[in-house]
Amino acid sequence: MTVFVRQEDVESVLVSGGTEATVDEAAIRDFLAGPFPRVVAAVGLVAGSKAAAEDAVAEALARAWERADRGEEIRSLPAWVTHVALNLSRSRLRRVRAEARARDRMERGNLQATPEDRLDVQRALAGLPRRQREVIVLHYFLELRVAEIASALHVSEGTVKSSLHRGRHAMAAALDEEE
Amino acid sequence: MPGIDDRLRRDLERAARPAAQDARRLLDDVARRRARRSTVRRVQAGVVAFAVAAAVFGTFAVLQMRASTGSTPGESVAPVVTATAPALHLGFPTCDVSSMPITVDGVQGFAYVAQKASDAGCPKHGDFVVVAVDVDGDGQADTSYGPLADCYLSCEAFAAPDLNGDGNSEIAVSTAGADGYGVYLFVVTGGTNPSIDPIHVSDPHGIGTIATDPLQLAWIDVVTHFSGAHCGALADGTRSLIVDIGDKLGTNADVTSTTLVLRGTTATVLDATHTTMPLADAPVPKGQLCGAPILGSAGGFPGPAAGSTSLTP
Repeated sequence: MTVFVRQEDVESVLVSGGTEATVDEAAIRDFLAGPFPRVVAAVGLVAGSKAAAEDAVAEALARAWERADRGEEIRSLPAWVTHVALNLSRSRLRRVRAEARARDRMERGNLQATPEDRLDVQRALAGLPRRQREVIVLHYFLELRVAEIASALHVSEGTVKSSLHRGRHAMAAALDEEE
Repeated sequence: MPGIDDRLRRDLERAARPAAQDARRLLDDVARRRARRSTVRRVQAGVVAFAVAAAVFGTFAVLQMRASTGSTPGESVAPVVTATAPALHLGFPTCDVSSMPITVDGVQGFAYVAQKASDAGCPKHGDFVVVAVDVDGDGQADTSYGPLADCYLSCEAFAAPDLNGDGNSEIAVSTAGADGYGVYLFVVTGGTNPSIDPIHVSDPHGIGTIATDPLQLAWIDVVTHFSGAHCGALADGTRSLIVDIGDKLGTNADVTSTTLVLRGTTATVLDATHTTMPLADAPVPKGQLCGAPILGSAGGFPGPAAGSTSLTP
């Protein structure tokens, strides 16, 4: 399985900052060829809309690129894009516009419409408060640790731990699973 | 039986299923957005420079006027901000109340958007915001609906349009967003048992481009795009609500419009169109929704607030 950020890189990339990387066209290409689908999937799980997620991640990438043009440093493109895309996906207004664009793309045949799996886990996830949903997806889907999630969401580790605990408990109850 | 941890890892992996991507299209898309952001930033920088110059000139002009006449500047048209709340009798104390007149069954009443106050005062963020109505104008709320979603920053009374031409006001509540407002629409029913309900959307053919549960609009007019709504008329004279989303492409606009008709608490999608038209003819939102003036911080849209929402009946 593709791992969001290699564990050995985590300390230098997500938590303690590490060395900044240049965000240019080559870096954007690498991101699109690498972490992009997985970040879109993660944001889609949180936002409940793949169209909104793709739109939010593309917008976050554009912002990263434009900021780099102005000389701003971005230490970890995947972490930065994930954080910004999650924030952008909060807007339901953006979702409306994203779904309009997705519909347009489908009409042009550039996007394969795949049937959605209506899994219990999606319904259970949708019932969680936003913060718990984000933490559950980042932990179980992107396989981030508590410190990494705290860094990505700009919250304390205590907040992550309590959200993870509550979210996990709620998901277990909703899915009728043992904790 | 696997534990919850295994179940979550397995099912989230299945649920996500990242779709195959067209890398060329994605890169083009990101590059377009980057260019658009650069353009917007340059425009904004120009606007800020102009605003600073205007402010300096305006301050100088006011000082000159005061020095020559001794008078004070005119009253501000900015919205009044206060936590003072009318007694709505909702069963809990309220704060950050905005209100607007409505008409239900021919009687003028009021609609309120209010936040639940806590012992510590008015919460900084809108965790528990309700919309309430006083259908007989006696100053007490007769019914309420809430808490409203997405009021994290704030929600307030937006407009009281008649969306279906039945003579009764519908209620539009706004929440501030990054580039405009989100607007939620509600139906008020009068009589002896008043109610306020969100508008649900029926889209039997799946053709609409709108947000639902409840029916929502985006109210935006920025350099690159716009979103809003206006009323129209069907062939039989029935009033319709047309929700518009558009991208500005130089002198043209690429517009997606969804036509709905409201009956009871259900808005049914009748038609959807996607057209390119001159920007001057595009349905860019102005300061009213179906003839009802827009209030509160969105008043005077798309410019700065020009009016204030009444805070008391």
